[in-house]
Order: sequence, then structure tokens, then C-alpha cells
Amino acid sequence: MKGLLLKDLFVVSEFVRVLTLMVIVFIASMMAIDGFSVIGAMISLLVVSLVISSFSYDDLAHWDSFAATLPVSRRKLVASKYLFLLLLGVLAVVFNGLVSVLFAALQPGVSLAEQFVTGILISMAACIIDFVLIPLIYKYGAEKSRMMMMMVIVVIFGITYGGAELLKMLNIGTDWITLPILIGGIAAAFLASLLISWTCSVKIVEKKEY
Amino acid sequence: MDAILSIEHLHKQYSGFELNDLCLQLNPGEVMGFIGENGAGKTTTIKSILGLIRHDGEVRIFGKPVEQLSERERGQIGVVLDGCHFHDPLTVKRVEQILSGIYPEWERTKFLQLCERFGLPLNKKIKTFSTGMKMKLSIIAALSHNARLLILDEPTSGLDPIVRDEMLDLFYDFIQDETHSILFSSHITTDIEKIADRVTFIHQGRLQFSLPKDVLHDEYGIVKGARSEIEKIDSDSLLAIVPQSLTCQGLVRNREEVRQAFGKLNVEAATLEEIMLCMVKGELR
Repeated sequence: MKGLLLKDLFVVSEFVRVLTLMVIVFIASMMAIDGFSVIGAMISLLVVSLVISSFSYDDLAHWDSFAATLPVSRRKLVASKYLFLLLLGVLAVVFNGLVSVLFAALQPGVSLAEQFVTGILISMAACIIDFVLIPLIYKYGAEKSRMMMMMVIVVIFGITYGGAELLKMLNIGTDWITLPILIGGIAAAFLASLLISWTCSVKIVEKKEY
Repeated sequence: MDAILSIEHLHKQYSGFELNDLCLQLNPGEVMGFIGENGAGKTTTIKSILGLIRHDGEVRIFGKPVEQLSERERGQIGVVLDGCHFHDPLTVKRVEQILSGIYPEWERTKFLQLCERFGLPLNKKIKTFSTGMKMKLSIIAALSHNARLLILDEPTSGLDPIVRDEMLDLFYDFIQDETHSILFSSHITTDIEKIADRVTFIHQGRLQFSLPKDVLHDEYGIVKGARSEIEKIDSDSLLAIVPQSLTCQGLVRNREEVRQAFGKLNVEAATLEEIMLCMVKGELR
């Protein structure tokens, strides 16, 4: 397991320089237009999407067929990818924390705690997108992952927007969605999607022929 | 002595191809050359052995059904599949760190010594490596985790003769331990002739023979002459006839007996390539 995690970390560390540059440019451009709130979301999406890049690298190296010959069960092979994603999620939260501190320092009156919680929620939401994607990648390959990622984002956005519209149509206000309820809802969605995604991925990989 | 690898009635069906009732046995200390044309079923057999595909029949390694092997036992199987499976952005040093975290009996010193012996730079990225260097890395990795069984699928294809010879030297070193075995699939019959103790030939998904190399070398022969003369050889000895432009060529076993019985025919020892060609292209008897 340790070796598998190291493999993914080493492979995506290639992107770190590019990613850092992207983040700096992005922060600078957002500061120019006071668009701080978007920065955290973008960082979360970028960091967490590194797990998709690791799948693409695995595909290029035809790693999966070799990995299936290693002294590691297929369940552990899948577990290493989920663990890697969770590590990236933690990293995204840390980056969000740093951006929140920067935001709070530059714009007086902004609540650091609120910014930080938002960062955690956004990172969890970014992980949920990957939870949906991972079984699809195991099933159809990483080549189609970019297209699938767009589709998943559109579907999730559609459901959220559709839900909000439905509440409006039913004359149900959104005042009851307080921060604790939002946190609880996203945490529940996070855990449920992790569990479903993990179960599907293990089933797909255990049946897979190379 | 228990076989290190045994295959019983292996069967795999694809649309347009069937691997049919394959039975094999590889003993400790033995190198089995596994030959056959493209699409004959070599890779399908290897994938079945390694559990990469579902199949019917039983595969036992180290005396156990392959699916019951412990992680430690699985770690004692060195595998080289076609090509290099390490990611382009990695360096050899990184590959070493990764594999040491995967194999229970990883041998760091041996890996580094072999890299040095075969001129693999530790800090260069794999994307800068030639095909030969990548294959060397795959083979060195397979030899560095206390493997008792090496399963090699076309490990020397695409390599120049010098590198191929170096790789064969590595396999010789490995097989000096009589508890070790190698299953070596290749179309390069000269490599098989150099290293194998036993040759297993598969054609269109069916086992044609699995014989000690010495038997093939000492008993098999190529006869050349008129078809009518060759057809007089009894069916126990004559294995295949290949019609050629003016004369005919036949593959026989019991070469010396045929030579004595048919003085008019030109009988010579058969190379593995000739045996393979006759059995693939000829009319089998």
C-alpha cells in the first residue's frame, strides 16, 4: 500500500510546479477583481483532480495489468487510490486555510472561520465529484475521464440548481438551510458517495480482465 | 519433486480464439521456453497463470492454487510483461522506493547493484530511456524481490542482440539456484535455444509438444527430398510435410532411424525455428 501511494505522489508531483504557477496567476488575477471567494473553490478542484491525472498516467504506462500481478489484492489497489484522493482532499483543505488567512488579512471584516469552513465544504464537494468519477474510470478508462468529469459537474450542478428551483416552485424557502445543516448535508453526501463509489470500484476491479 | 508451476486443463474462450485444454508442468531448476506464433495463446496462458483473466482449469504455483497464494508467495513470482510498466516521469530511484513499499522481500542492494552493472542511471527519468533500458529495468525489478519463479512474456523482443545476450546472462545467474524456475515466452527461438531446458510449443491455442530441449535437438530432424519419398516415412516418425517449389521438406522425430531407413533422403538436425515453421505451415500428420 505504501508503495502504491508513493507511486501516485511521485507521478503527480510532476504537476506541482505547473499547479503552483497556475494558483499564483489565479490568485493575482482574482485579487485584481476582488474575487477571493472563487479562489478556494478553484484550488480545491485543481488539487483534488490530481487523482484523475494519476489514473491517466497509469493508463499511459499500462500500469493496471502489471499492478494486478503484484503481491497486493485488487481491493488494496483500489483502496490506495481512495486513500490518495483523501490525502489530496486534506491538502486542498490546507491550501484553502492559507488562502482564507490571506483573504481575511487583505479584506477586513471577513470571517476567517467562515472562510475556512467554506474551504472544507468545497474540498469535500470536489472529492464527491471524484467519487462519482473513479468507478467510471475503472470501467471505461482514464482517456474518457475529462469528458466524464465535465458531465458529472454538469449533472451535479443541474441537480443542485433543479433542487433550488423545485423549492422555489413549492414555495419552500431556503432560510432553514443554516450552516450546520449545510455542513451535515455535505458530510452525509460525502460519506454516502464514498461508500457507494468504493463498493462499485471494488466490484468493477475484482471482475476486470487485463 | 513438486512442480513449481502446474497447469491442468486450462481453457479460455474468446470470440475467434480458444485456448484449449492446456496442461503444463514446470519443475524447480527448469527453464521452460514457451514458443508459438503471434496469437497462438502464449500471452493468454501467461495472463491466466497470473490471474489477469478468468479461465477454466487449474493453475497451481508453489503447489497451491494460484488464488490461494499469500502476499509473500505472490511476491516470489517475478513478472515481466510485454513492455515497461513504470511511469515515464519516474526515475529509477523512485521506482526502487515504490517497489520496496510493495514487495515483502524487496532486495534493495541487489536492485542497485544490477542497475549499476547494466548501466541504468538512477536519477534519469524513464521517459529518456531507450527500449532496451526500459526492458532492463523491468527485468532487474523482477529479479530483485527474492523471486523463485520468473514469468517472462517476450522479455527480449525489440532488444538488440547485445542487450538480449546480457539479459540471458541475468537469467543464467538466476537459474543457478536449483529451486528457481523460469517460464520464458518468446518468438526468438535462438534465445530459447540458448537458455531453455524444456520447450513448450503452442499453436492455435493447442499444445503441440512440451519436451526437453535435448530431445528436440537429438531426435528431431528435417528431411528434404521428393514428396513421394518423404511420404514413405511411417506416420510415427513423420510429423509434418511442407511442400516447397521443387522438392518437399518434412519434419521427423527419430532422425537417426529415418536416416538409416531412407538413405536417399537428406536428413539434418532441426532447429527450433524449423520445427516451429514446419508445424505451423506444414501439413500435420
